[in-house]
Formats: sequence, C-alpha cells, structure tokens
Amino acid sequence: MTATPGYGVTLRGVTQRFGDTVALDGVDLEIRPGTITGLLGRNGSGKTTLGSLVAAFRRPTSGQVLVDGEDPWENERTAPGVCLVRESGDVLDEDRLRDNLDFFAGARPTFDRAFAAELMDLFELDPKSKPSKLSRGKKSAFGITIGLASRAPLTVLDEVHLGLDAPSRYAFYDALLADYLAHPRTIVLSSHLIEEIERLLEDVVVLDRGRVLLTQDADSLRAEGVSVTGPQDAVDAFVAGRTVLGTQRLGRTAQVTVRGGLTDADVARARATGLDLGPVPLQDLFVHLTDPRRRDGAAPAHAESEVLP
Amino acid sequence: MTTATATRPGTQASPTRHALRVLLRAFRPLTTWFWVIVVVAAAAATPVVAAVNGEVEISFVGLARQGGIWVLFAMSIVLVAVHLSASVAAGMTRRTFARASLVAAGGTGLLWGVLLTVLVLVERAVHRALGWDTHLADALLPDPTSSVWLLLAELVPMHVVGAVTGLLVGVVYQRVGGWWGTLALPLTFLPLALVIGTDEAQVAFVPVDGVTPGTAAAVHVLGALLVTVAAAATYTAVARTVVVRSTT
Repeated sequence: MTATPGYGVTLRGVTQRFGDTVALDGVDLEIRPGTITGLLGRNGSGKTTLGSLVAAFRRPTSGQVLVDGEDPWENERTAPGVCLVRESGDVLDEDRLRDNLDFFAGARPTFDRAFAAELMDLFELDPKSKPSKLSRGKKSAFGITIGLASRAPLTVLDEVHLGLDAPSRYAFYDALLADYLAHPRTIVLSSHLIEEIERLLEDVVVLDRGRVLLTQDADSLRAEGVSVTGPQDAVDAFVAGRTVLGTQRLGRTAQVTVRGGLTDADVARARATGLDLGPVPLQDLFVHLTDPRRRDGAAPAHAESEVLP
Repeated sequence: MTTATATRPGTQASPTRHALRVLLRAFRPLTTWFWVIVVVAAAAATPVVAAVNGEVEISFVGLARQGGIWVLFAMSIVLVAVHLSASVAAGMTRRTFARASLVAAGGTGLLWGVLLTVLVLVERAVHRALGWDTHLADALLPDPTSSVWLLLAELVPMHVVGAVTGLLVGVVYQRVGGWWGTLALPLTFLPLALVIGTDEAQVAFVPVDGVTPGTAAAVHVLGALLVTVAAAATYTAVARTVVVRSTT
C-alpha cells in the first residue's frame, strides 16, 4: 500500500457495446492517482462511456475496470469516493439547490459545505431555486459546485462547463486549480475546449472511435512538437518538409505548429532568421491525431486559419 | 490498492440512514396532503349526505382505501425514477438505495394503513354516537363490528404491498425501458394484483367451517407478507443491475 492523494484508475481490455455500436473497443488505460488528466476526444469517441464505467453508472460488456484497485460496481468502499458529474445533471430536479447540497453532503464524507457555499456565490446560484428551473449555464455551474465541493478522491467532470459563459468558465478553471492544489486528488476533465483547459492538465488521454490513441503526460507531449512564429516566408521555409499540425496567419505573420523535435542546428537556424519557437498547443496535436483523413490513411490535413488585418 | 491521505472518505453516518431520511422526506408532503384531503372530504360529505338522507350509512373514510393504495403505488414508481440515478451519482450503491427505499415505502405503507384504521374507527364512533349504522361502501373485508386488529390486518398489508409493488414496477421500467417495462407489467404488478384479488374476493375472510375471522386474518397477513418479501427480493435484485443513463 502506498499513500497517494486520490484513486487511480485501471482499464484492462474494456469493451462497451450498445447494440451494434462499439463505444469502447478493448481499452487498456491507466490514470495516475493524484493528477489532473485530460480526457480528450471527438464527439462519439467514448469519453462519456468511459466516465460512466469508472463511476459504476454501468458495467462494461467485457474487460475489467478497477478504481483504487477494486471493481467499482456496487463497491461500498469506493462508491462514496467517486464523483462523476455529467452535463445531464443527475441531481434531484424538483428539490431546491440547498436540499440537493444536503443530499450530496450527506452521501459524501469528503463534502465541504463551506466550499460549496463559496462556489454557489461565485456562480451566483440561488439556494432556493430548483435545478429544473435553471438555465443550461446555471445547471452546469451547479454540477461543478457539487463536483468540486465533493472533494472525492476520484472526480470525473464530463463536459460540465460547456454551458458556461467565458467568465464563468475561467472562474471554474481557477477554482478547480486552487482547490486541487489545496486538496490533491484525482481529477479527470473531459472537454472539447482544449485550448482553455490545457494549462490545467498533467496527463492527457486521447480517445478516438472507442480506442486509446494516446496517453502521455502533458509536458512530454508538448515537447513532441513546436510552434514557429515569424514572417510568413521565413516560417514557410523553416517548416518545409516537416509535419504541420496547424497554421495561423495574421497579415504577413504566421504561426505554424509542427510535430517532432528540433535539433540544436534547427533552433539556431530559426533564431538566425528571426523566428520565435514555442511549445506545441495540445489543440493542434489533438486535431492532427484525430483527423479522419489521417486515420484512414489519406493525406494528413492540418488546421489553417487566417486572420485578416 | 492504495491508501490516499488528503481526500479519503472518513467515517460518516450510514449511507442507508441518509438515503432513508431523504426518501421519507419525499413521501412526507404527499402523506400530509392526502390525509388532509381525506379528512376534509369525509367531514364535508358526511353532514351533506346526512341532511339529504337523514342518516349516513356508508364510510366515507373507507373510500380512501383504494385511493391510498394507488397513490402509494404511483409515488413509489416516481420515487425510483427520480432518486435511484441521483443516489448512485451521489456516491451510494444501488444496494443502499434499495434497502432505504424498501424501508421508506414499506414504512409509509404501514403508516397509511394505520392512519386509515384510526380514521375508520373514529368515523365509526361518530356514526354510533349519532345513531347511524355504518357499512363500508368499498370491499373492505372486516364488517362494521370488526376489531381494530382485523382492520389493521386488512388495511396495513394492502398499503405495504401497494408501495412495494410500485417500487418493483418502477425499477423494472428503469432497468429495461418503457416498452419492456410495460410488457412486464403482468409480472411486476402481480404482487398487488394477488393481494387485491384475494381481498376483493374476500377469500381470506369468508367464514368457512372451523375457520375463525382471526385465523383468516392471520392467513391474509401471512400471505401478504410472503408476497411482499418476494416482491422486495425481486426489486433488490433488479435494482442492483440498473444502468444510470444520461438524461440528455
């Protein structure tokens, strides 16, 4: 036994079928305890199904799911310590928010009522209102309140912040990070908004069509590529022959993300031509990895956007 | 297996007790409203009928028997639909929810059976004081002179079975969905159908040679108890396999 802050997750050969649809296909995966792991994938890649299996919302068709070393299904020990918050809610819709908080606080030994009250204030939630009467954004905020205040050893937040406006989303990211640092635990964050959450992530899991495409710590992943910024002609010349993941142009300035490391000579050449080098944005890598044309063996496409002056 | 330090769940009140408190709270408003309406309706109808007919021979309170059974049955279905998913999402096991919901529904059924018995006795006393006869318009088994024990023996099991059958119907809908849940109704509704069927046929209380009303009541209670235990066991087994689906 080792002392770690939070529950680890292990999936061994996990397959989940829904009729003819294969949501997860022989998934082998380890989520390290005490980390914030980003669960990234396109729509229908299996992120929500994976969260449901870990939280024992359903059982896999085949394979083994372990939470803190044990099967979570009907597990009296791990159940109070696993919190899955989905965009769909899973709260008592016709009970007031404060009654819902009482309900969740009574069921979770680690629930922090004072922190819940802080988050209710932060997201301007009225304790007397009912979830069924809330807007999508406020429902998301209430789910986040429950998810963070539960301080469960394993918290899975599945697209919970999509309904929030930008200021609320950034308030959520700040609250999550601050509370995680004060109370380390395992947090799995599933999202499409990769640019916004990538600063939070320590590990990254990319799912694609029910399979694990990549699982890696975020820092080493970022080191697998580089962003090159500078005059358009110089950038184009520098990246010629490399795998381009994404391109942005602003007037005569371009920023291109390429995959693969640079040699010392490459770095010197870039600097000599006035180019800035930076880490690879996870979003570009994600788009590249999950591009259907790349997956199907066709020529890889890369994201390109142009911002007119 | 690891032992986490900072955020591991500590000791807390039993999850079953917590779930039970929440579920009893869900039954409370309905219990209050239903019995207030029964009392007010009986108190209002009795003088009206007395003014028209000169006397009242039926038990208005007794009419609440059918209503009570069906309201509890429906409430139990709703209870499973609303609380099972939320309980699992809150970190409880399905087994915990099943235990708590059985106690909550069964206990509420017991309470309603006792309340109806008390109101029938009060109404009977009022009628006697006013010189009226009383018979129960519904197929209530005990006669106007039956003892409190016979009333309890008939009314309590009916309400308890109604509530537990509602849980069973509700959980099967949760488990297999709308179409199969409806197709399964002949089986899932069977516990209540059995008890209502034997009750309305007055099988248990029909005087037969050598069988006293007390013996018949005991048989009725025992039969209802067996049906309840079977329904509860089936409910628990099904509840432990329910998948929590997304609501969007």
